[in-house]
Amino acid sequence: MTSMPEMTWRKYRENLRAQAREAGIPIFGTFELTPLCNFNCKMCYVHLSKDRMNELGRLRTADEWIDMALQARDAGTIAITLTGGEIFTRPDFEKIYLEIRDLGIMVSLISNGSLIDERIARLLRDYPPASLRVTMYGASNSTYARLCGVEDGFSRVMKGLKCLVDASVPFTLSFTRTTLNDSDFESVKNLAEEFDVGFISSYELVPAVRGASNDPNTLRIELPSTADKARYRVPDSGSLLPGNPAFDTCKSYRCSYWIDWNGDMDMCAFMSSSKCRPFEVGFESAWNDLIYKVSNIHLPEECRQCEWRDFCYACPGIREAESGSPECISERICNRARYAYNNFLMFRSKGGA
Amino acid sequence: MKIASGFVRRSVGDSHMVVPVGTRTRDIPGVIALSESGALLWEKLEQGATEDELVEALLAEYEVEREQAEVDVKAFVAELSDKGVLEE
Repeated sequence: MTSMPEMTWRKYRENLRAQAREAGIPIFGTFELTPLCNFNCKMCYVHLSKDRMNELGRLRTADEWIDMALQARDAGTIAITLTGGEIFTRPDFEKIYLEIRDLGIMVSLISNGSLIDERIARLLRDYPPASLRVTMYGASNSTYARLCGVEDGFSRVMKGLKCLVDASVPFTLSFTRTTLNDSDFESVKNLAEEFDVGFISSYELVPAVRGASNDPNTLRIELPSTADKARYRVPDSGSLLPGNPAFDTCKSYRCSYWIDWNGDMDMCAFMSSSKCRPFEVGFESAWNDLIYKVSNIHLPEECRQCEWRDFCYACPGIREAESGSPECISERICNRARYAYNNFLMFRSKGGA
Repeated sequence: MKIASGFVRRSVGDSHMVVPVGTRTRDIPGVIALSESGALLWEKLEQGATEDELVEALLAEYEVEREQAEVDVKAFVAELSDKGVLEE
């Protein structure tokens, strides 16, 4: 009889995810606290101006988010990520953060880092988040000006990171590669090494959702290295989520949710076709409604026999962002899968594993 | 002995865990994973319990030899003490 099982957090989390998926328990959530941001990044799929936000809806108050977290906890949520927009633009961020933590929920944060000062660093030192991810957009003020439309962006972010380092607050850096900042990729990666922190990068840009606007097509990079990586990524299709092939590349299905700034709940940031209204009907009712709706999403007919399917990263969320429906294919994604598949065949013909 | 303040016990499906809250997360990042028997002992300790009472709780709930239950309780209590979770 072992009272404290020994296993890594990753393995423990995946065990939890599997149980939650089986039982339909909403263990992981994201609260998108605001669409407002002090940056204006050209690839952002969420950011709204204040006027546009007011046209579309309203921000939820701190008390509303805290009550929603309480309801979510009672339904089984163990971890919530707070994101935006930029979370630190909210003057009531501290109240939301501390009170959700005190419910016994692990809280992770995503920020652009530019508004982190000594006060916020002290807060995060004294009450550490489960994780803090700072997204960087370049390694110079000129790159930030070009991509994010702000002056001194890099200097402000570096100042924020220094505050975190001085306060011994752990963080990771992430970097979104676009045509306007890709030349800074190595520099940002080196910065992460200098800070001795984790680093992740992505190159997937998604069309704007929920009333926002962006320009993914001119910003998207299609590096040869992108395809090189794709050929190694052969998902074990079918093993992840028995019962709904549409979600066989999705980790959120039946265990995660996203509540946007306007109070709509869906399975992820990219979806809104299955949306439910937890602030109106209550969390549990909205969650039950959501898992019913997504269980009726089907894999597009074209995908069922597609020979590139194991090389395709499309999920209902990506399909919806790209085509407007979780059940429609996107020619761009199909081409990517075909490219990856052909690269894989070429790799194998040269004797690769 | 008793569980100190700053911990919230949670259960999801068959998994049991304790999430540190407040400034406790500075000392214990992440969660403390508990087995089913660990969750039972933790629950008893939330209300205050002696080692003998913990052993009795295990014997009442599981088919286990007293000697084994005593060993397990001692190990569990020692680990919690090391983590600074227990108070007198």
